Amino acid sequence: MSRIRVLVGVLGMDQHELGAVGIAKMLRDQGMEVIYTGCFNTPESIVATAIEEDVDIIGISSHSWEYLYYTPELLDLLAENDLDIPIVLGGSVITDEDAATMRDRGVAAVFGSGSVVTDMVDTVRSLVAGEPAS
Amino acid sequence: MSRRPELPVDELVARIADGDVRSASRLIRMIDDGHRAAWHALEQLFPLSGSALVVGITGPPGAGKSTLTDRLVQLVRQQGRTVGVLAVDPSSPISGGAILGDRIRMNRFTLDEGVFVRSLASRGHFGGITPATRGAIRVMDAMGRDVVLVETVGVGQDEVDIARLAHTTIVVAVPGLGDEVQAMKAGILEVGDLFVVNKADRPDADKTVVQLENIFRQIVDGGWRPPVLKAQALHDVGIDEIWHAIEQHRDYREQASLAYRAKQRVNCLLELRAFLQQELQVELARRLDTEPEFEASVEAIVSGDTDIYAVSTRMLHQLGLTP
Repeated sequence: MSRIRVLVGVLGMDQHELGAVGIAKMLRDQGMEVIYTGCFNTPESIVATAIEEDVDIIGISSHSWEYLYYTPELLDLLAENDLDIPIVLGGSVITDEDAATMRDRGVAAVFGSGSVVTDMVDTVRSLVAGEPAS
Repeated sequence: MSRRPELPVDELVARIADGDVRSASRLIRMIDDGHRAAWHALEQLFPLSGSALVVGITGPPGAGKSTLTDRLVQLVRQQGRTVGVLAVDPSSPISGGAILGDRIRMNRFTLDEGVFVRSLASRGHFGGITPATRGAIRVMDAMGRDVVLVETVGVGQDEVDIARLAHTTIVVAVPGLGDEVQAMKAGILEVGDLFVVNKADRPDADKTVVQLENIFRQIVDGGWRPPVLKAQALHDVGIDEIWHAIEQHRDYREQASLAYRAKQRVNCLLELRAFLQQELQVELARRLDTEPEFEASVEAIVSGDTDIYAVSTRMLHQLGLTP
């Protein structure tokens, strides 16, 4: 039986881990296998881990501005490695304007503060199934 | 998952033989998800495997298994050899999901191509490892990893499956859990080839060592007497000694004493039985789900018209399992 495998982590020097832990637990409770990589990841370490763990989707938790810098780098690196893995970005600091920029850049879905669990879970399931974000 | 194109199995095998991590990672996923096509790949990889040294690391939760694994990875890399790590964490018995976080302790090796870490969820399997572990070891072996380290879930007393797969099984214990040896009774004491009393800077470490040594004192000459070593994995203390003991155990195995060969035969028998049992279970569950009476009888049981015993008797007969 197949289970969705999700990589969840925080990029850069951002030390706000609580959101990532919360998301990891939420996805686990939905029957998914979460490869939890904690804080201080780089785009390179995320890509290496995604390959080694054969994940279906990557969730990046962000509570500092750094995602604006690292997420595009991560997207480029995934493309360079010929990896078609959707990226979902979540965090309290993401403004609507930045969310739009990130989506334009290739992020599959963005969740700011006040997001609802069912929306996030449904989106993950849709993206893994190859459908557009619900 | 359906989103991504699957490579033909022969292509996967060819790439794995070249050491390709991505293909190996994909095949491990297929094994984990129970694809029968993966068996064919594993059969093809069989002639390429057999040269890796497989070391199991087991012990109770919090004993320091991940930290010790990280230190052993470091040592193997310093020897200039490559390593694969299989880190098993428990699945939730309620949702079936899992949080796999062992690799955080090894994250300094994430960009080292000589280290391939794969997390596995126990997926409802008891015994400390997963049904996919055997296949995953073969994949890492066949792709050319010199050493494969398997870190089990935190185990209690009889989760000893790893001993059937590993050349050497390390049991990690810690002092100060009260009656430490009581806490690791039968099973786990019988299968360890090497005992490490970790966090040995704690009081009572020597007491734990003596307790364990007393148990193994009765082993007669010719048999393997498991060494009991003190270590502080976090501070990199005692790691060389552990590796030395692993090598001594390898020498012992290579002498292929009668006792060791007999043990191997028992392991093989248990493993084959467990493997077939698991596949039979999957197959029978599938047939059960297509049996119309299965769903239908639930209502009848709930309403009290019949009971589980009567239904089971009938269904076992229908499935041809009883005369």
